[in-house]
Amino acid sequence: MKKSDIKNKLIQAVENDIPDIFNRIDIEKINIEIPKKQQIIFNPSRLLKLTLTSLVLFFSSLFIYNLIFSDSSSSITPLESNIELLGFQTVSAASIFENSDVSDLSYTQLAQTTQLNNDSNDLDISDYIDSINPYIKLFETILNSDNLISYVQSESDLEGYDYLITYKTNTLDKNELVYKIYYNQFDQNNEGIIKSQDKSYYFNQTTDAITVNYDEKSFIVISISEIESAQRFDYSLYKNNQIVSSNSIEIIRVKRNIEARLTINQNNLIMRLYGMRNLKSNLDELEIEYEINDKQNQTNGRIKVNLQFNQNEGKYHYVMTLPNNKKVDVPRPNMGPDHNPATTRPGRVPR
Amino acid sequence: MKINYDDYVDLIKVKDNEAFKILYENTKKGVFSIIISIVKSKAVTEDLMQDTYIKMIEKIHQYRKGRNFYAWLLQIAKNTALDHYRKYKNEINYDPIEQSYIHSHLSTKEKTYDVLDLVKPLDEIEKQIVLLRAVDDVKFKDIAIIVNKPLGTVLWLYNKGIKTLKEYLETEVEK
Repeated sequence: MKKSDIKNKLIQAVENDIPDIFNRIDIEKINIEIPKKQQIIFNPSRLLKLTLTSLVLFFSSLFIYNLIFSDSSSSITPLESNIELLGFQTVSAASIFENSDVSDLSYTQLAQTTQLNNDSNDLDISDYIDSINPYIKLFETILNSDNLISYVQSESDLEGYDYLITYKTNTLDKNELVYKIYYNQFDQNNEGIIKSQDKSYYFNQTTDAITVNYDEKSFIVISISEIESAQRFDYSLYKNNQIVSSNSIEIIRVKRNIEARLTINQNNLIMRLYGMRNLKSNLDELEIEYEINDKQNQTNGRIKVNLQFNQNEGKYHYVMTLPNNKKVDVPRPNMGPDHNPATTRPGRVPR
Repeated sequence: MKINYDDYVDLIKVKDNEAFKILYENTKKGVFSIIISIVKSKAVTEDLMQDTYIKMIEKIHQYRKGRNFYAWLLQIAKNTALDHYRKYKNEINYDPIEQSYIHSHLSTKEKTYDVLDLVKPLDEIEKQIVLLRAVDDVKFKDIAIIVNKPLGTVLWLYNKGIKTLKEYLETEVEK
């Protein structure tokens, strides 16, 4: 039975059942309550609040204006159609969910890492590898040359859904990575499901935002704000119905490459990661410029992320090369629904 | 096609019956859905629908244009039904003799609506969410306000409810 059949059954039943009580209401006999006039009383604290709010709004507008008109580093916005916007938002949310336990993205983790650095003047990037790691796969999923990323809309092959968007890219080891987004359209809303590995995440898109659900109480709300040379997506992650993390991703097209600027703002710590992908003939490479600072200390630099095949495990690991040439090996999560690490072969060239 | 409810608010204030009819026809499914997810009796549902629209007219000056009229009306319907439910519950607690009378009268002898048989496996909140969305296409963000739950939870409960109904209708009703 399709979702539309269930809806039709319910509509039919309600239309048969609904009583007509219109003639039982005589509008002429109803006493409409007269509105009470509100007295405006001079209130100094209210006036102060209004003044401060106006000042905050003024300076925020000024800041946003400067941000927009001072950025001349890159070119046009990469996502142009609603299909691409819907695809990007659902794929990135699914990637964040797949990437790590939802709890990994909470305030707690970064708060703990901050503790490690209380005594030093500069933060040590080694202490933040665990915080950066969940976003490496996200970068691998969304960064590529734009001719190697495609969003194709077609009819759904899944019962209950009318449309399908197929997102295709290739991983650093040049294997195809595919996400399928099934959805229905209702007025200005879209609702559907994104299939990712053995998991499915429901989503609903309104004119204001997209909500992608991890489970009943954990979800990501994504809203878009356009700026001149990039598209910015704000991600609010909720766990147990409480907001635990607010991040943003700006994506920029530089020549033909899609690059991304990720900002993670948690407690007193701001972590900015600028991700780029270096296309190579064999295995591609990620390059991440980072800037991490808390109220007193900061660090910045550049990390290179390469794949290295682990013979014992039969799969790739990420190897991060830090600015001091120290190498850090971290396991790479499984890649997406249609990517099988067991069949991965180094250097396979995409069709 | 949905109407712009704000266009009719001023006409309600001057007791225009035609405007009221248009509002009534466009909102009755949602009002009905909310009420039957809380009370089951046909007679009570009709009374509560009537009370809802009378309250809406009485309090029309409290509604500010630009807000969401439909969500405001559905909130009145929900509160009206809940007030009745609470009163009914208090009566049960207060008078054991009456309790047995009311209980048997309302829950066993009287035939309820067919739609309630279809949504039988759902709890009260799921019924509200599924009926409002499926029957009247109410926006999820409006439903979230009405049921007082976060948007993500509403989406989750809606999809869970539809899945439950799918299994239920395939196994039970189709037999």
